[in-house]
Amino acid sequence: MKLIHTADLHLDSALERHLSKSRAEERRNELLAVFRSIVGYSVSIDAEAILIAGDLFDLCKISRTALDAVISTVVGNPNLIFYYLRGNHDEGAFVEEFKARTGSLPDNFKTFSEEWTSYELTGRDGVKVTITGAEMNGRNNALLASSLRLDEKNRNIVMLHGQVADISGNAEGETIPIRDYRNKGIDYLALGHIHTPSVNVLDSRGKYVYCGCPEGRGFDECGERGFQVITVNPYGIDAEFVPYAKRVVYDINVDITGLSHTEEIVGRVKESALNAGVCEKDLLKARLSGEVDLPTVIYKDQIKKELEPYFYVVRVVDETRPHIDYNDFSADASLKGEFVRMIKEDIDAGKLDEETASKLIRNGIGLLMGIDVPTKQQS
Amino acid sequence: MKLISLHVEKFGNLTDYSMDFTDGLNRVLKDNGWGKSTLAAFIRVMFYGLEGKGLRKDLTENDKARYTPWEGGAFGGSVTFEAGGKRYILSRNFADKTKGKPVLQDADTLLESNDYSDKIGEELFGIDSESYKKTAFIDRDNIRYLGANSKIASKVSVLSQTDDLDRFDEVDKQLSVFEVQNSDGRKTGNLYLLNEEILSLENEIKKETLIKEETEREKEEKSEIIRKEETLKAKRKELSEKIKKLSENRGIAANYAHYLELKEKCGFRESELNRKKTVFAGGIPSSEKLDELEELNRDAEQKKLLLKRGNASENEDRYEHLKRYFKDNPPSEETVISKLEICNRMQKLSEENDRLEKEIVSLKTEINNLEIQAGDEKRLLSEKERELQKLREDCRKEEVDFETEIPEGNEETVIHPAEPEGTKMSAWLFVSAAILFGIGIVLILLYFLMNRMLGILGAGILFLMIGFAVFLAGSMRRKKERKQRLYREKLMEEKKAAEEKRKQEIQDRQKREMLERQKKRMEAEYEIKLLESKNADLEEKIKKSEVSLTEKNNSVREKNNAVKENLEKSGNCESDLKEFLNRYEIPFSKADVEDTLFEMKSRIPEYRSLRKSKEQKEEEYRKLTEQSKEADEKLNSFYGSLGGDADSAPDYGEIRAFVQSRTGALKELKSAEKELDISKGNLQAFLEEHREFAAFEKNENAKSSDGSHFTVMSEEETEQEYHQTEDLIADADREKDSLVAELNRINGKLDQLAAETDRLHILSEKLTERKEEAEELKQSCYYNRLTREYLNKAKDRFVARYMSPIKERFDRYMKIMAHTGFVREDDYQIDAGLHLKKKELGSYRDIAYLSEGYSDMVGICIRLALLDVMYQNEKPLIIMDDPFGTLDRNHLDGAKEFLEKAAEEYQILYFTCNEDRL
Repeated sequence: MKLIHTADLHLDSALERHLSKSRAEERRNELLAVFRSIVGYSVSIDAEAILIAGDLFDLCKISRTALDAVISTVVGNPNLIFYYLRGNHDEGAFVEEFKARTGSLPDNFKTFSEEWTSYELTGRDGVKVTITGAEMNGRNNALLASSLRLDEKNRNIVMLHGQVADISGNAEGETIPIRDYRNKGIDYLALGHIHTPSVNVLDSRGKYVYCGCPEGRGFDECGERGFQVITVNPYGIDAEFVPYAKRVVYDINVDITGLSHTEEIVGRVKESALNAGVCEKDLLKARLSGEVDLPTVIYKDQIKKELEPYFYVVRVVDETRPHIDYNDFSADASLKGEFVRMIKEDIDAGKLDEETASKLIRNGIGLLMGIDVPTKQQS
Repeated sequence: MKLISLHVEKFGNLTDYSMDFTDGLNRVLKDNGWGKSTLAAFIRVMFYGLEGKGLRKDLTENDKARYTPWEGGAFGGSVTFEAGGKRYILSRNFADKTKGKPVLQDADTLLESNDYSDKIGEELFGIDSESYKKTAFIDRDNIRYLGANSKIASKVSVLSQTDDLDRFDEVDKQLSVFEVQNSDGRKTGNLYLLNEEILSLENEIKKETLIKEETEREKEEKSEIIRKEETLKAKRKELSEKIKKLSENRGIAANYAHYLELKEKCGFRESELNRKKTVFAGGIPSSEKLDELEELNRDAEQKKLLLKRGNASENEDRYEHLKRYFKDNPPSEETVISKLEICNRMQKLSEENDRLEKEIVSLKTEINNLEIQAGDEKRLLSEKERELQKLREDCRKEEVDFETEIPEGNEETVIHPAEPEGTKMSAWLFVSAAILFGIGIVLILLYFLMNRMLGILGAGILFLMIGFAVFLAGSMRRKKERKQRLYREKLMEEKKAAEEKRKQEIQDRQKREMLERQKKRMEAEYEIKLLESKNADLEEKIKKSEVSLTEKNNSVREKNNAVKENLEKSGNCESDLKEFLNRYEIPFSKADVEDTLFEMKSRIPEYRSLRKSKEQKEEEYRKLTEQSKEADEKLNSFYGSLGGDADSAPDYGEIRAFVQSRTGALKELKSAEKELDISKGNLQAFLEEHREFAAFEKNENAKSSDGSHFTVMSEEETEQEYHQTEDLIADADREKDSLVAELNRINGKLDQLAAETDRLHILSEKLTERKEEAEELKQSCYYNRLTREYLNKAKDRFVARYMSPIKERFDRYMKIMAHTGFVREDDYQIDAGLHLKKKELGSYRDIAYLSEGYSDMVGICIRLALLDVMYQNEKPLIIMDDPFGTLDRNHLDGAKEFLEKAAEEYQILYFTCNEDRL
């Protein structure tokens, strides 16, 4: 029997932090499309159910578009069971809205509450699994683990939304004290909240899995994104990560040592992006690194503008260091030389670190040479 | 650099003034107003050009306004100087179109020199005019030292690397502006504003906890209301049921009679049913059994009928007929088929012969036609040949005729021009006229000669007149004759032309006839050729026809042979078929033999089938007899089991009647049962609708033995309870409305809280963003401040590195100046900005605080010290315009000593108006 484990779609997310208004709207629509697409994929592989481990929505107040899309998808796939666990973001009245629209929740839409709720699921191949879940609200964390009762003879999937901590005992907020969930007969702990996929050993029997978010929404969500396909058989539960994101967020390091012109730097970035497999539909954060000659100024905005036609979203971060040979300045009888020597003395005296020194030298030398140095520091 | 001489053309109040200079101290003692300052300014202006041009109205700042000669004319002059081992003459004229552009000449060759540009002052002294005035040009108005500028500082430091130091002020300003703009201390600073925004956002976001708590409270309240609503709903339901029950009670009395009626009906129907059951003495048979009895009866009867019918088959007659036809020995189908084949072959042969004969006839017809055609063609050919012959003869004739000569023209038509008559007559008249005239003349002459013969005169005159008249007539005649001649000539010409034309026409006609004949000949030749060709074709055609005829005749012979052969074969077939049909005494007819054989073939399976059928029929009859016997036995037995008389042989009619009567009775029974069921159903429905009667029913049943009935509730009690329950329901409804209103309020509140939560969520993201921005800006400010700090420190150190020589020189000059008794060797400090400070009461203070005279002297010392450091090799010219004006007599000696000392190294132009200060 196959199931899909997904979470953290954050439908209706604003997304305007790194994207323009039009792009943000486009991405919001893409997130909705991803949800529908995951359901379509589930149907195509004859999956029995979809486990949504929290944060389906980003806000309490759900937009009509998102509401209609989710409801119509659920209602339109009566043979697929949706197990919907709310997260710390989607505390809104989605279930009430659903009921208001359709009169009552359809049979293929299962919800959870603050207390443990279990559902028995028998697959078309006769394999059985128990799906148990509870919604953490900061007040029930401590009691949840201790109140979990599972039949160890069954295959057990448990759903939670929170941050795993290698602790035991009282936990606050969205913390999951993972030690308390060991040896409880859990085969698969389906988690949401962390947007990076990972699989970890829970105990000798089971594992705890973050499926990650199916689409990266910002530059803090780099790498492949997708969902887990769970296979339940009488002897255990396996999971396989399926990369599914329409757009992948890349954070690549680009060494521009020796380059000084914007065109050269742009070319190097494009080359690095190509090598990293970045496509024009993807989001790219290019961290420029390496050593550049002192007078070289990195025009981030210009570089970003040049790269924009090639990628969906571009962000450029300057992490380069100026190439400084202090010996060159030892005999320099100009103010620049004096400046550099003074800084070197403070480095030697331990008053300055190399990084700060390189930034000061770049600024100071650039200004003295009349180069329009952006005095706002890179980060 | 050394000044050798100067010449003032016109500059200020100086006009045409020259001066030579020596090394060392050059004293210029002039009265006030002479123009010392002007001369000093002239020297400066010659090297640096006019200052303060344009809008500056203050004369002290506007050289042009100050020094332009009032009387106009030239405005400028020249200086001769030595620099770099060479001598130059530098000229400027500010009044002409050059506008004071310096003209530099080599002093020795007087050729124009490009060794220096227009900015000759900057190049010679290495500093701008401003800096020059602060150092080498000690004007009475600007003796006081107010510090150096970056140009001086640059010159003081590294001569070759001044760019970054020059930029320092600008950079420092840029960094300072950035610091101010992004300060976190100033209310307009970006960092301050960001921090304010962050604070505001944090304050907003703090509400999140409260919002959450409030949301939880509202949710709990909502849950509580929902619970209350559920409870109320259950209570409401209970009350509804109760009131329903009470309503039922109200109608119980009315329904009781109906209940009894239903019960009675049930009873009646039941007794009716029992009565109908008694008809069936031996037990009630099922309708299926009666149907079975009827079936058995029918079956047995039918079998009996069949037996009576006998075993005669339908096609008995037909069978006998076929038996006779085949003589009880029918041939096999294969035999008949083979005979059919023979028949077919015979027919084909006959058809073949028919076809051949037709072909023969057709061929003969063709042969006939061909012969006729050939004959026609031969005749035609003969005709054509005759025609051709004729044509050839005609052509030959034509050729002979064609060579006939063309007839000549008619001689009568040739016109010879006749000699004109007129000419002879006119000629005689003229002759006559001449003669008469001559006679007349002679007579006249004779008159005159002879002198008296008037008659001679008269005759003469008469002869003259006659002669004249004859002459006239002759002339006239001549004229007429000329006319006639012309006319005749013209006529002759016309006739000639007509003749020629006629000739031409004849020739043309002849040509046309010739062409026609040629054409006719060509046509005839063509026709001949055509005919020849046609004749050839005809001959060819005739030949082909003959060949075809031969072929066709051969074909006819072949076909005749084939016909004979076919007839023989056909005869054999006929014999065979005759013999076959004879066996069955069937007459042979060639036309019908095929049909006869087909008929025979079709009858063979029929005969076989009928024979088989007959055999089957006999077998069936035997079986039917047995079956009929069995059916009778079965029927009798069954009939007996259902109550009939089964002792004797079955009477089918009797049994039929029995079945009918029993079937009718059964129907009535079923109808009675159905009616009873309906009554029972009605009663049951009534009891379900009025459950209270179900209790009656039980009690009735239970107590039916003693006849007592269940007691109905009183109407009063029922009414009272009914109204009470109604009131309770109204209360419950009111409470429900209030709960719904409260629920709506809470839902509205929850919506608001959700919206607020979302807003705070967005603010939270914004806060993160702002914090990052602030951190970034903070970092930028930090690095900016640090950069500025280090740059300033570097600059101080950098400049300070080069301060020591200045300090040393300054101290030296101060030592000299101290001999004046006026200044002391106090503790002075020169900072990186080349500002001079004096230690007073433990602190260094700006020398501006010193007395005028004192600070002037100090200023001179520092200027000289600066010059010493600025100019390591070639020293500049120092111009001093009465710098010691503020010194009293007691201190002048020291000043003089100072001057002499300075003059050891510098060429000094010292202007003064006071001999004491000389």
